[in-house]
Amino acid sequence: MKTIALISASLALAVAAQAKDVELLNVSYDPTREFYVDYNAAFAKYWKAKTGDDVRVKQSHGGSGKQGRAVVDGLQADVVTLALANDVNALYRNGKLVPEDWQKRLPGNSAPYTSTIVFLVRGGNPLKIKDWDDLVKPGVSVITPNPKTSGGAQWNYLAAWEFARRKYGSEEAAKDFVAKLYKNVPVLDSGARGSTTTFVQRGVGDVFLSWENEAFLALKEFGRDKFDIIVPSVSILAEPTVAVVDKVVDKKGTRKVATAYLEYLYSDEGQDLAGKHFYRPSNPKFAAKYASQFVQVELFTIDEKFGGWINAHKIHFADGGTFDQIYLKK
Amino acid sequence: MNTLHHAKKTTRTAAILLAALTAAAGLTPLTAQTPAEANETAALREQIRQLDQKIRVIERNRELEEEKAAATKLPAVSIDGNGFSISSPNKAFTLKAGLLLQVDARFYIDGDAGASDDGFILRRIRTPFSGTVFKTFNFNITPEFAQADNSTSTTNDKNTQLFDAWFDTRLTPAFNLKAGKFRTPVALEGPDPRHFIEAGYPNQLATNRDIGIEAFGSFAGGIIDYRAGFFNGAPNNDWSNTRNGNAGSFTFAGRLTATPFKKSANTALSSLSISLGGAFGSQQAANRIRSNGQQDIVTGIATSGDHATLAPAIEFYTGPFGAQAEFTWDRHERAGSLSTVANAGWRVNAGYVLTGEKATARGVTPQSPFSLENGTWGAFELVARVSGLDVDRDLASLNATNVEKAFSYGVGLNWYLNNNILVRFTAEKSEFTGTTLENEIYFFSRLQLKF
Repeated sequence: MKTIALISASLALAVAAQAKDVELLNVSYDPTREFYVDYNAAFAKYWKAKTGDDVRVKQSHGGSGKQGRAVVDGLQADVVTLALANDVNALYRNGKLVPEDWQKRLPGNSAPYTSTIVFLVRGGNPLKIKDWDDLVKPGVSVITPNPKTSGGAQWNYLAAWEFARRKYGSEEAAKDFVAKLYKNVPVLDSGARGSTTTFVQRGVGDVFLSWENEAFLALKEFGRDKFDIIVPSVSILAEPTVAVVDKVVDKKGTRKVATAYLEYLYSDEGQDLAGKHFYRPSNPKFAAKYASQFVQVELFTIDEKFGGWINAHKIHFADGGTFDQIYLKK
Repeated sequence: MNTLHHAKKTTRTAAILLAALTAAAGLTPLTAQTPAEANETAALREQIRQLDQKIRVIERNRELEEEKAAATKLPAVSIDGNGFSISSPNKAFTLKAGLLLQVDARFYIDGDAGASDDGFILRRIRTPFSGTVFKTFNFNITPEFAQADNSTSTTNDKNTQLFDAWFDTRLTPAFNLKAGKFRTPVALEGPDPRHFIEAGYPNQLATNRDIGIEAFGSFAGGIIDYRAGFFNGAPNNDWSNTRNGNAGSFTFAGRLTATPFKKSANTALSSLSISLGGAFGSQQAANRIRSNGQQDIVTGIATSGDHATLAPAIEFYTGPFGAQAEFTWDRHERAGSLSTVANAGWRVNAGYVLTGEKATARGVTPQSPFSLENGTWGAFELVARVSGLDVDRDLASLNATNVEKAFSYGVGLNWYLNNNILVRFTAEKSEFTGTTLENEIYFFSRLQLKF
């Protein structure tokens, strides 16, 4: 009898040691701050109703590449919601924090919402910027972050590259074009939010190569008379991707709630919030609901034009890649 | 700094020029402008715009440089399964706070000697505070708040005391120094056993904590490790803070460990280590020897003067299996004309992780930590131990309750809920000879929180 009582007491103590409150860390890229503030509140409400548990989601934001490296270096992210798949691939390459096929675990290659790259210019568009060609003209100052640390900057870079390749017909011409463009970049921030500060708040530059949602946010916050959004003739389909960080959730025992957190991005509420924050919802119903706020533009994908992120990264952004060749020369 | 200074100077110059140009442009009466003048005004305006942009670019780049510089000055604060820590940006200085909490439930089925009653005890409550200064120097200060020992036979374990207080300097892999109060190198197991709740007999015959200085390091790429130092000569299995021994006399203690297959491709043997610990010199008065169930089974030892200890051991881990074997022989003088006595203890213990995780000398990291919501339970390890004690006849005959021989065997289950919480269950029987004490059968359980 005593033995049973002691075992029961030990078990009770052990179970009592498990907290009912759950805390997750979402390591994300720069422009998702506002979206995830709202989304986290919605998910916490949903999870409380479903399980009775309180969940608190902490957010960490920065340049997407930099954020991915922080997780590799030990930042205990339960989930990552990064700007591009390659930054999540890095979690597999460096320490097998996620499985190789992580992208197959959620619908749409783990991209619950998409976006694209547009131009944000000063109110009235004084330099009459219309397309990518205008960005390489002498005297035009272009703001874009550093592709070595920012996912958004990589999308910008590849969009410009593809435009030039189509128009001028070769890889070399595309490289010359992008080199000219970067000659017009006076400030290289580490992330998209830093570039927004540079352009919007510090008044530097004539054109800001911006995430579409970030551009809308600037209009909303600072007034539609201050800036104009210019949609180029062609741009890139940016697919920010999300993943549960297996090694962390298994260690912390948060796999179930972390998985639910990402799955809820595909729910009606998650998709609606994405649309409200100027992301393009992947669910056709909500894509249709918010279609009117986005200008129609021809979008190409990384897979179609650059053979996927692994290939694109190797050629353009790895050490010694085209960006290094261009920028170091500058 | 030069860049910043240059940037500030350039900004000032540009601002003055910009102001002058703005004034010049403003003084021109626009209404009376000729086409040439209008062109000139437009050119001036463009020049102003460009200068304004240049100033803004310089200022923004300066701001980014300052942000970067500030970021590298901020200390890193971390709180996780390893405790709470703060480190300087260059990691040269760190401070860390941890916790060790052990709550035990003890139940003696047979052989209760009276002093050790059934019930709950706070076995250990320690709050280690450690850190690094100038990259090379480390320190650790650990108070012990638990008054865990329910015996009345010593004074050391009844009060809150300093358990560890040391600092070391890491000079080279082969030679480093440590000074202060810390665990002596004689025994392999020490007071915090790998498989069972309480340590076996060999640990009763060696010093636990002592004050002194030691050299330590490794050779041959870590295949050979050594620890060797001079200490006050604290009693066996005790952690005295004071110098009570003979004036001017010390004890020398050391341990040499070989891990011969460490670099071998044969992973089954790569963790096999063979070691020899030992001590000789002058030792303070030892008080007692305890059973695996923490009851006094030898008292009145009253050592004084020279002693010698030898403690060979072997340790092995492969996959989910781990095993240790240790033998300790301890000989010492007694006060006055009493004879020199020698005692020996041994143990063999092993564990097998039922859930398949890798067993290591430090424990087990569960693949799926305990979580009710995920339906995962952590890791379970089945353990077993046999151990024995051979007490010198002269000591055994001192009291009727002193044992001459002890033989113990037991099993246990370790439940690793996660990296920080461990629950242990141990049942063990000890057969005593040459004593009036009954054989001992106990069941212990422990809840441990450690980070």
